[in-house]
Amino acid sequence: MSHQPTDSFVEKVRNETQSYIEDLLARVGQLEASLASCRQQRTELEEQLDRLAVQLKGSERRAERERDEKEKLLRRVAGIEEQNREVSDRYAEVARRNNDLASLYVASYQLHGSLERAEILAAIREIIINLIGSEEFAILTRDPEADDLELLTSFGLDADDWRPDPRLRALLDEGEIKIFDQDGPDSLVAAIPLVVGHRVTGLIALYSLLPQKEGLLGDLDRELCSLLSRQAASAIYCTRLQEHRPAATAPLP
Amino acid sequence: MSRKKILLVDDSATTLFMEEMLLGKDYDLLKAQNGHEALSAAIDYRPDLILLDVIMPGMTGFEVCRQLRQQETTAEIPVIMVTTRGEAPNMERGFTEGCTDYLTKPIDTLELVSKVRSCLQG
Repeated sequence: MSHQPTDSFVEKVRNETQSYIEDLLARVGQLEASLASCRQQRTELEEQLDRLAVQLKGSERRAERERDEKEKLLRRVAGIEEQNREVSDRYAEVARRNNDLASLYVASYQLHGSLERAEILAAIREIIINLIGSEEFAILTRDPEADDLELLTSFGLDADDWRPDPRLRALLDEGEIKIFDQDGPDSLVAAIPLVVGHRVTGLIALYSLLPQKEGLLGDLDRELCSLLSRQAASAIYCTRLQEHRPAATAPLP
Repeated sequence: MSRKKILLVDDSATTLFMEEMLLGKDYDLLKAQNGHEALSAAIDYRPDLILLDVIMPGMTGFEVCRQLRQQETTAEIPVIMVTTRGEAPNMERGFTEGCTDYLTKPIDTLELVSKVRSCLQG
């Protein structure tokens, strides 16, 4: 019996198997090498990831610091803007007050600019019209003998028909400036007693205001009324002295 | 640089004094107390601006403004009318006669300074 075909078959199988195994081993070797390489890459990537994580943390800290810095700067800017607004408001307030003082100075200057009654009454008229803003008013003096009011001058009123309201006499006795709302007696807006020392020597009655005043007397107007109460009274009193005793008001040598 | 010249026209010494106090530090001022003086001063001194009262004895501010606009030498001078008459028809008449701006009395001092500055810059 011959065994050669079987032997060659087995040999063939053996060779092929061996070849196959060698291929497999080679392949395994490649795969192991590849696996090692991947593991190496993974290690490197993990290390890189760690480094990036550290960098990211650093960037986040920096970003947070910059956000804080930005917030501080914004608060500072807001604070400076607020200060600017306050300075600006204060400047406007000071400018307004300076201008109010200019009005008071002008009024006072005009009231002490003459000893002639006509000129003083003209100055009072101009103050009331141009600085306070009334075009209907009467300046009254107290007649001590009759204890009544006498019209010195008026503006915007019919002097022939005008008679002092009894309520004005009452206001005269009170001796205080009265400001009325638009429902004052006979549309009286204000009653300003003329006071020299402690004596009420007369009264200024304002009956209406210019339309642009909208019926209201403001803070400056009240200060002007207060100024008129004293200084207009003194000025009128001095004109009386001038009339009756010129020597008393003559210039000093 | 020479200072700007402003002609102040008002029959009220109080108003003239007030305007002088407010403007005298920054501008050269001329004063007139009636319409005729105002026209003469405007022609002779060629101010850069005129503050003009409306209600004056004799010639009113409206008439002064009209005559200023009719003369070549004064036609371009800006005029701010200053008056107690704040009603719309009066303001309209002021602008019709050729005024540049309008201020009502009592004068708001900050408004006066602001309008003067604005007219002189324009």
